[in-house]
Amino acid sequence: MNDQKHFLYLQGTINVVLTEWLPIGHESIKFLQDKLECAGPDREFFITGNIDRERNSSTMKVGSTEVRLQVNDFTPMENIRFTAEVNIESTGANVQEEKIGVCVNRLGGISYGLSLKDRPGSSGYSVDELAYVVADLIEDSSIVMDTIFNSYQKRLLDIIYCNQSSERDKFCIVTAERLSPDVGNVQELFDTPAYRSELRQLLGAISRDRMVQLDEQTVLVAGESGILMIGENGRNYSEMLRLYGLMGCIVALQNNIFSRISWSWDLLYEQKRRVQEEGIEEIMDIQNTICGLSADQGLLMSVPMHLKRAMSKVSACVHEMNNVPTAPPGSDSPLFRHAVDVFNLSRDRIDEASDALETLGREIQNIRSLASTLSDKETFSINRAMNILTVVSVIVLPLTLITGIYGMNFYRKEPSGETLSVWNMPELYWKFGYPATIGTMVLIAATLLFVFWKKGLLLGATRSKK
Amino acid sequence: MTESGYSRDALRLLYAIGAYSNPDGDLSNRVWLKMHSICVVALLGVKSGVFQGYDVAPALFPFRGIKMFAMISQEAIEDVQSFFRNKHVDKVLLNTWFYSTITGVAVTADGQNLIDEFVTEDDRLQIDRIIYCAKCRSPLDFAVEIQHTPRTHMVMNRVCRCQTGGRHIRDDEWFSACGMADNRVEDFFSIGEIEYRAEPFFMDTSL
Repeated sequence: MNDQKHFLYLQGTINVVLTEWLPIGHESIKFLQDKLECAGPDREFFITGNIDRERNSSTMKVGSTEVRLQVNDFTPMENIRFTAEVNIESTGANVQEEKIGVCVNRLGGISYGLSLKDRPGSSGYSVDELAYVVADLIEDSSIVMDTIFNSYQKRLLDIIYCNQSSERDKFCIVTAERLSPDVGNVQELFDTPAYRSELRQLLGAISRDRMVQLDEQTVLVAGESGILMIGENGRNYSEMLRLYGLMGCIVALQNNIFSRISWSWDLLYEQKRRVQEEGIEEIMDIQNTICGLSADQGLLMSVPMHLKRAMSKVSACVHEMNNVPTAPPGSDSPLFRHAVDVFNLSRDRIDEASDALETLGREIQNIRSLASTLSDKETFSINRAMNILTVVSVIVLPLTLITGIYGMNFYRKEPSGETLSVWNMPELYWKFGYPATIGTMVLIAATLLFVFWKKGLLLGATRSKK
Repeated sequence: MTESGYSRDALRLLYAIGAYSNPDGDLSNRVWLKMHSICVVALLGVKSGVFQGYDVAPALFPFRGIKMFAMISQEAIEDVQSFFRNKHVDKVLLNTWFYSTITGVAVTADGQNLIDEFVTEDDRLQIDRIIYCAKCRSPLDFAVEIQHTPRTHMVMNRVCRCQTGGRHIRDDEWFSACGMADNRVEDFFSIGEIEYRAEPFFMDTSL
């Protein structure tokens, strides 16, 4: 069954770029550069995220080598460019030749780029097929960074993306020289259902007012998760595209941060409900969850700072762009202006994110105290029960001793009647032996009970010290 | 396009929604069909030829609080949006255990009238093969099976189950047409690959 229907084809030089923004700074770039051995002579090597578990061995097994890297260029503590090729065995495909151009900047902007080669006998790549390419690139780019990042960076990503960081969404920029069929009016791309559906597969939700003709030969279509530029003059708009992509991915990450904060709040209040309703049986699990939330919240606290720095820099670039006599092409288009407005509104949300995280931290402490109180209350109940058992044991112990002594068989007289020893349990032959023994036992028990009562160790008895 | 203003595929999809949400014809007892199940029905319909005009492609789809790649039919989603605009279905947002929301749809009285008037017997038969168990005729649930692997955090598959419990009884011919294996809709979360060759392209992110 042919489930692929192709209506729109992109032709000529087709570039696919994914952009994302991650909270890394100078130190992370330094770490990255050191790891990729920028200072050394060998700039091409395999890299894997596996850990060397055979520390005392001279050799090691790595399993499937996942990524091959070649460092192209770098500026110390600023940026790095490298080419990455994901091992085709690990992807399970044998018909893909995919070398990804990766740029990492100290402000956190990362781009992953492909330039698609022509396929013999084909009329370009359909928009449908590009959706597959983008999906593949999203996964492979995450594999690349997963092998490079350290545990802290990976943990931060897992927190932000709820342990699904390998499929984190990235902002997609696709440029092509020509479109087939050549639509006369850009609005025809939206008005034709088949075209509209194909574009949605690639760019996410689209709307009529987000399709513009930048010049006679260049069309720009913006969607929820990407933009598509078609035209021979596309390279003239590279500056605008670069900023558009950066703004888009920063806003996307900010949205994910807020989603993660909401998720954490929901999870936290679920633990609060469990503390109040489920009780001591689940307290260990609840406390583990709260500890996890607290650790995640602590890691997330650093993100708004990085966000603020990056957004300030981007805003400064946009502002500078508006004040030059010749603004870069496309920067005055309504689409770009709209993206800038959305970006500026998002800047105001950074402080909200910081406040939300601080409030979350305080609430975590409150719930943790509540859980500790429940745990202490239960411990108190257990201790009280133990107290009762101890009191009873202490009282019964001397009585048991007495009965044990008088349970021994030391005869006073031999069977023949001759006295064996006057020291053998004389109380047994005393007229008042039995009542005296019972009385002694009662006295001992009463004395101990009185002492415990005076000290406040009996059930519910507490004496305040004056 | 039919006289109803919808395409044949849209009417079939509306019938599927109505079959789940209004099974006994009493709209006061209607149930809500989740959007991701509609997407699975669309995928199965595309693969088995029931939806001739639909297409599927990988797209990020919110599921269990996160976005995952799945084979989604944008045409099906757009048709559901049309149903909602024309008040042939109602929409509800549901909270989930995964601290997120999902969308459910259910047919309205107008939608049910549209189904009664324009959905042909052949349309019903085609859709019934997808959404009903071949043996007991109970509606199918498209449940999620999760497997944890060392490399990825989880692998999800969609499986067909009768709402009466247990696995869907195989209809071999139809299963074969849909490309399913052992009741699993393996192609829903497992996106395919295409052939392409590429060189690195660098877009500088410095400011």
